[in-house]
Formats: sequence, structure tokens, C-alpha cells
Amino acid sequence: MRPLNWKNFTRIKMKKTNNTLLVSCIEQCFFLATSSQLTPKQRNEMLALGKRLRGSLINLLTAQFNDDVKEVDEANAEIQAVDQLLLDAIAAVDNVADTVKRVNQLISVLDKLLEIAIPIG
Amino acid sequence: MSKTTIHPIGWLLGLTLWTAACQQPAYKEPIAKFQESTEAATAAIEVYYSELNGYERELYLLERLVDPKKEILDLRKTPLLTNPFDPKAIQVRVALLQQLANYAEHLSTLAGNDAPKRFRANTTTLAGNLTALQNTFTKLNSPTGTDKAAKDYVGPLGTIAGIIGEAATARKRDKALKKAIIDGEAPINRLFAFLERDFRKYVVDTRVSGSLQKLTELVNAYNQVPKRNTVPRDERRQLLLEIEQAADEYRIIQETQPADIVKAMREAHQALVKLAKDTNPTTLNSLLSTLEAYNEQVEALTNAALELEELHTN
Repeated sequence: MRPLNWKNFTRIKMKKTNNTLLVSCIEQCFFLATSSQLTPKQRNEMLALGKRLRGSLINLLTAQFNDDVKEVDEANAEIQAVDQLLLDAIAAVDNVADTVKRVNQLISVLDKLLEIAIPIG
Repeated sequence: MSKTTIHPIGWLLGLTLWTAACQQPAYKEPIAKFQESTEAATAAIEVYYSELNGYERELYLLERLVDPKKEILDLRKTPLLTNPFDPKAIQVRVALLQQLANYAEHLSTLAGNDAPKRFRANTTTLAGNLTALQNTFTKLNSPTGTDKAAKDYVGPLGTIAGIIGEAATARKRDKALKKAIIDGEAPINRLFAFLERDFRKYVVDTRVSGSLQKLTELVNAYNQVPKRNTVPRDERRQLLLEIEQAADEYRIIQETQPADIVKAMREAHQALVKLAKDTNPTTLNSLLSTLEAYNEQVEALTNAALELEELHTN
């Protein structure tokens, strides 16, 4: 058969979420879920948030977005901010309440984003 | 002093023997090593891909095991009946890995371990397999397909199929080998790059976060056991044993860094290309030391896969 020339394939620009940082957020949530500085209720909350974020990750792995979807940039900015907050929270657990609020915000941002994902299959 | 003259035929024969003596062993041994390591590496990577959906089911059921209040509802939406990862997409990646192992085997055969007739039959089969695989990737990438990442494999697979098909018809094996290695450089490198990214994305990220979820879930459940001091010692031992196994799993995944194996595979292949382009003691030694490092990583990954399997059967 005649070999295909991969250089001729035109690539449609697609945007992706920053899943590497999202994995970091998930890990920080799970680490906080066993923190001695948190109440059992807060620990449960962190575990539940980590699992919800991981659920979003699994869905995002097979989702892609057109280059003009600005919500992806917003979600990425939120992921980055939450990751930093979680890292800070691990260093100083005083701001856990704020962090929980932001992680909840991130989950709703990601849920909304998935609603506009290009359907596969 | 009399001058010794050599007949041209004798000179040609000598040159041929010298070439055979120098070049064949230079390729034969490293290619055999590359093939062995690649076969073991692809087999280990396959295990990780194949476990993707099973692992999600395990996590789902564990949630219910540690929290009896959680029900199993909307069965068709659960990982018990709906695979989070498309089995076709997994299958095609496993097939790609098998073809990479076959490509390495083909090079090894080309280096001189098989009869020419059998060699041609093998390479024709491999070229056919690669073409079939390319078609599967094309289908997955079609508008109705389920795997958009598959488009990255289509081009390089077509090129490799062409190279292999050409090698199958070549009369001189050493030339065909050199040509196949050099021509295969770009498409094989692209496949390695895609595989490295794909493996990290679908397997490593989900498995690292999944194993940490499992560990956290078990620790959290242990911490919440009511009146823990009244729980019989044997029951607590069992709970702690499960935590220890989950911690082992997380540690193994973290320490092994499975995605690095694809990088090592790519580097070994690159050193092989370098030798094909310029056969000298330096490139040969460089290839042998890269292969050594590659083999060590393969052994570590294989051991990790076995350890993980053992943890699951316990």
C-alpha cells in the first residue's frame, strides 16, 4: 500500500483542560482527607470532593473543546487557583473552609464545561 | 620483495566476509536485546491498559464496601455496566503495542535469525496487520468514532506499513535492515511520543489518583470505625492489612513511573537508529549502554506489574 504522509494531515485546533494540575488537585484533596488538623466532617468533605474531581477527570479525558471555547481557559485558571489553594491549605489548614468553597466552585465550572463538550460517539 | 596480488573475486569475497563479520554481530546482538526488552515492555504496558475499566469497577464497589449507606442505583450508569473507557479504544492501543513488539521482532529477524522465505512471509503479515490497525484507528477517529486521539496514530502507522512492505520485497537483508531502521525513525518516534502522552493521560493519571483514592477511602473508613477499641484485634488487623496493601499499590505506582518505560523505549530505538546511520564502536557502545538502562526499566516495570497483580489476588 502507498504510505500516508502524516505531514499532510490538517489539525483542527482543540483546547484541553489542564489535567496534570487537576490530578494534583485530586491528590491534595485526598491528602487533606486524612489530615489530623481537620474535623471528621471536613475530612469526609475533602474525600468526597477528591472523588468528584476524579470523576470529572475521567470524563474530561475523553472530552475536547473547540479553540474558541473560552470556558476552557476559565476552567484552567480555576484549576490552577484551586491547586495553589489546596497546596496552601496543606501548609496551613486554616483556610479549609475557603478551599472547600473554591473546590465546589471548580466542580460546578467543570460540570458546566462538560455540558458543552463535543459529543463523542 | 615480491608484491602479493589479490584476485578481484578474492578481494570481493574477503570484503563480503569482513562485512558479514563486522556488521552482522554489530546489529544482531543489540537488536535481539531491543526486541526482548520491547516485547516485555509492551506486555507490561498492555496490563495497565487492559485493567482500566476493571479498576474503576473496583473503586466503585470499594466505596460501597466501606460505606454501607451507599446504594447501587441506576445500574446502567455505573461502571458495573457502563465502561468509563471505551473497550474498543483500549483494544486498539493493545493492538498497537503488539505491533510495536512485532516491529522489533521484524528487525531482529531482518538482522539474521530466520530463513529468507519465512522472513518475507512474516513481514508481509506484519505489514498487513499494521494496515488493518491503521483502518481501526481511522474508524475510531471518524465523525461517529469514539476516540479522537486515534487520529495521531493514523499517519505514522501508514508510513510504517509502507516501510515494512518494502523490506519484505528487498533481496539484501542487511541493506533492508539499515533502510528499515532509518526510514522507520520518524514514524516510530511519533508513535512513541503519542504512546507516551496517551499512556500518561489515560493510565498513569487515573491509576495514581485512583490508588490514592482507594488508600484514602480505607484510611477514612478505619478512622471512623465506631468504638474502635472494642473491635476485635483480628478484625482490626484485617482492616490494617487492606490499608497496607492499598499503600503498597500507591507506592509502587508512584515509584515505578510506568510512563517512563515508553521514554526508555524511544531512547533505545533512537540509539539503534544512530547505529544504523553510523556504525562505529562509539555508537555501538552507546546503544549497548542505552539498551542496558532500557532493560533495567523493563525489569522494574514487569516486577511492579507482578507485585500489583499479587496485591490484587491477596
